[in-house]
Amino acid sequence: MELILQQSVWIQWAIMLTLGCVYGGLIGLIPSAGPGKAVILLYSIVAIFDTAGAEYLFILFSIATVVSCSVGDSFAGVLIGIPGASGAAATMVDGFPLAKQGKASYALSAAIFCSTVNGLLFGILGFMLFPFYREIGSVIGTAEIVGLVCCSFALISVVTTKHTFRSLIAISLGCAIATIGWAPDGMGDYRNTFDWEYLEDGVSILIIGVGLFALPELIQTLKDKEFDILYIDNKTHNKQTWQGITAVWKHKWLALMGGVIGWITGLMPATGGGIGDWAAYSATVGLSKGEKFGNGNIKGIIGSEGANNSGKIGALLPTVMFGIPGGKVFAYLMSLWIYLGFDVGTDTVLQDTKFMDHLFWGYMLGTAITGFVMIMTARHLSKIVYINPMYWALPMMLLTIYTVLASSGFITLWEDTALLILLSFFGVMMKKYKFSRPALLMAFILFPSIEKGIIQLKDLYFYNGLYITNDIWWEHPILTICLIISILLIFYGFTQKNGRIDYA
Amino acid sequence: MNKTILAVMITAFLTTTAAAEQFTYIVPSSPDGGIAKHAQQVTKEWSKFLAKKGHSLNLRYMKQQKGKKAATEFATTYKDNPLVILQSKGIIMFMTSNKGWKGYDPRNYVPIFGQKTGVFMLAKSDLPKKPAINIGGGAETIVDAMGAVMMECGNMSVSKMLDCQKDTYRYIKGWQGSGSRRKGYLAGDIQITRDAFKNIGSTYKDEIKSGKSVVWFSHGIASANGLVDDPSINSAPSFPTLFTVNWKEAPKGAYYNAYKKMIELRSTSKYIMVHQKNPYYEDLLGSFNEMINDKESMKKLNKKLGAYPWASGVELKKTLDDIYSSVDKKLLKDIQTIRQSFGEKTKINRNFFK
Repeated sequence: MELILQQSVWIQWAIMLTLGCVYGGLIGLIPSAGPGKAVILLYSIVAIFDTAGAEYLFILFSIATVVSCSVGDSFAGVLIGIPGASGAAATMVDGFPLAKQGKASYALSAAIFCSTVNGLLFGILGFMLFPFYREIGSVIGTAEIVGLVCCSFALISVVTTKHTFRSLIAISLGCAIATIGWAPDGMGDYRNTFDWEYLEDGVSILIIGVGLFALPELIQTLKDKEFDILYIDNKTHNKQTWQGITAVWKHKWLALMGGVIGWITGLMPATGGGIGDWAAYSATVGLSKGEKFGNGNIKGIIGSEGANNSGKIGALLPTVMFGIPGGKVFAYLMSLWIYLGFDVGTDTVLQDTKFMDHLFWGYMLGTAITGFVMIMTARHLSKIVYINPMYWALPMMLLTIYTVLASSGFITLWEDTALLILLSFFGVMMKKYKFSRPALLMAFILFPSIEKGIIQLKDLYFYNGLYITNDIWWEHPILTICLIISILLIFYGFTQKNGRIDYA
Repeated sequence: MNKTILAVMITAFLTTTAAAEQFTYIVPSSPDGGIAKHAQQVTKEWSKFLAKKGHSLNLRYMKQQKGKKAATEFATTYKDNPLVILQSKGIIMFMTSNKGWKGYDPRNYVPIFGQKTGVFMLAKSDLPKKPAINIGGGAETIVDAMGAVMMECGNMSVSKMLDCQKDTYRYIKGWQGSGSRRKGYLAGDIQITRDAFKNIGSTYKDEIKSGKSVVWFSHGIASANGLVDDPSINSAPSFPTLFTVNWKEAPKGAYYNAYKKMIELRSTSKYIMVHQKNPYYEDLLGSFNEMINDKESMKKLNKKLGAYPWASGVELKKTLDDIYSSVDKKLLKDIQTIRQSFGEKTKINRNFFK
């Protein structure tokens, strides 16, 4: 670190941004890893930055890591059908089929370009809104959060397959798995654990994601021996890269809608990861009448990736302004910044122009550099699909399993392994018999928020069975509107004669 | 002569090598949890002095089962490992839950050092007729609600207090961590909440400055003289002080005893411990003593963690023993009754009185 600090400021910034982008990008490429894992690993090196001058470089490095990791996590989903993170699973639904059709560069460039542009656009918007965030924060209360989560939950009905009944079973299963562990009222009771202590913490989303998607896809790949992929030459790859970029422009309103959804869900501290991407994907499906999804529709990629990086800036605002992390990734990031002496959530930090400069430029340059580099390298990386899976599927499977087991520090090694095997079996069966895995995953992610929201609204407005106030629907119009939209969405989703997502 | 020098050099080398150890400091939380942040700040300074004795520290986070896993691993897997240190957590949880402790009992271990910390209660200045108060953290926030209840109801028997408790506030459950609770307070959904000193000056700064919120009281810090004023924010009265002003008498009775005991347990819960007869005890304690005598380190820690009192070694052991031994069956039964009235499925740990 001393060697770096002896260099000029420009060189220091260049080194830190490069390290952040490379490190974050590489972690993002690892199936099932994602920004959360990338930031947790920073705990082992943060002490290096604990010297005068270096702490600001850590801000630059860490935020560049998060944004580049978010950009990079599309690769695994698109190229090998394994979500880089729970949110990136939405991109995989249409991205992987496109890769199989020989359009990996098309899918990747659209995903990366959309994520990067929205990251920059909403990044500027987000930083401009810093002075007004207090007002925004005071408008979004429990009722509004419940309303928005209800909308996201209702959107699940849109992503059901044409097998409505099977989709309903998948949604129910997702909700049922989400009920395992500590009860949502926070009163220290747990449920549905079958007296297995391990289940007290509930089922990890990482195990659900890998079990349902990653391992079944890798097993399928090994079974097939090779992808049935159309081989294309370099010239076509280049052409596809440009086509991907122009596709984003063509569907710019969908991209923008995804960005808005990601940004808003990112602002809400109670919702958790992955909601924005899935909600944006579902909204895209809902808005694209008569179109099939899940078989390589570029709109599906643009919609979900639109929410990817915009969600990060949405989550950054409450973290820096109030010290209220907008998600788990930012909770980790905040504790690292506090470790280095930054009073996150105070005026001290907001008035620290050096801190804000490093944060802003780390975010913007990290997004731009990673986006540019990833688009440039996408055509090369996408050639992985031409390599016989026998050479990479098994190592990739082992790496994925290792990532899952390492995430709990190997403390619950056997339990994690057993659950992973069980859920992989479920994943294989669901894929085979066309039970919607995305619907299960979304239900699993959203159900706890819905349940907590209902408990809170009941206590806030319907205490002791009495109607505390008749004005809730007028005082919180966002809740009212969201609930109406939710009912309509559910009705719409399940009355469609032909389910429009062809992916299980 | 040469042989003597060689022997001295070998002895010195062996001694140094044997003394240089890497300790694993188990934190029963995820890296972003409150006690994890405390541990991170403490180890940042402490490790400097530990290094002088040739040792190093490595933090290991075990968030599983709300920290219970860390405790049981310490009691079983690391039973004979002198290089493992455990951060205390959930002493109230230990006393009020019956299952799965696998031989863990905080009274069996040797505390090295700890810091007594405090918590503040905040309230909106303009409270509605029946204000909403959060108790979403379960084990963590029931005691905060108890303080608020007593402040409104005065001295009463437990049964009468439970009735008053029902009629005083609406208790809002289901907050997903302190972040969403803070957001709920700022948005006005809950009008009474609790938080640590660090957040008073950050998250709620504007609310307090504009007069929308007030720091109602601090629960106080456990001491030989009962609960005393919190040193981190002098302007906030402690619970006993404000109660006495409001009710013209000191707080008393079984409900207060249960409240006070839980505050004492929470106030002294940030300490670290090792197994008995740990060969490195003197090194660990000595390096801590060097740290608290170092002005630079203490300045940093006071800024980050608050100017709360530290305790160590025999003194800390005695404080903890006194607190544990003062918990009798009746008191724990009252604690159970009160906690159950808030909706917690509390069951007294049968092993506590063995």
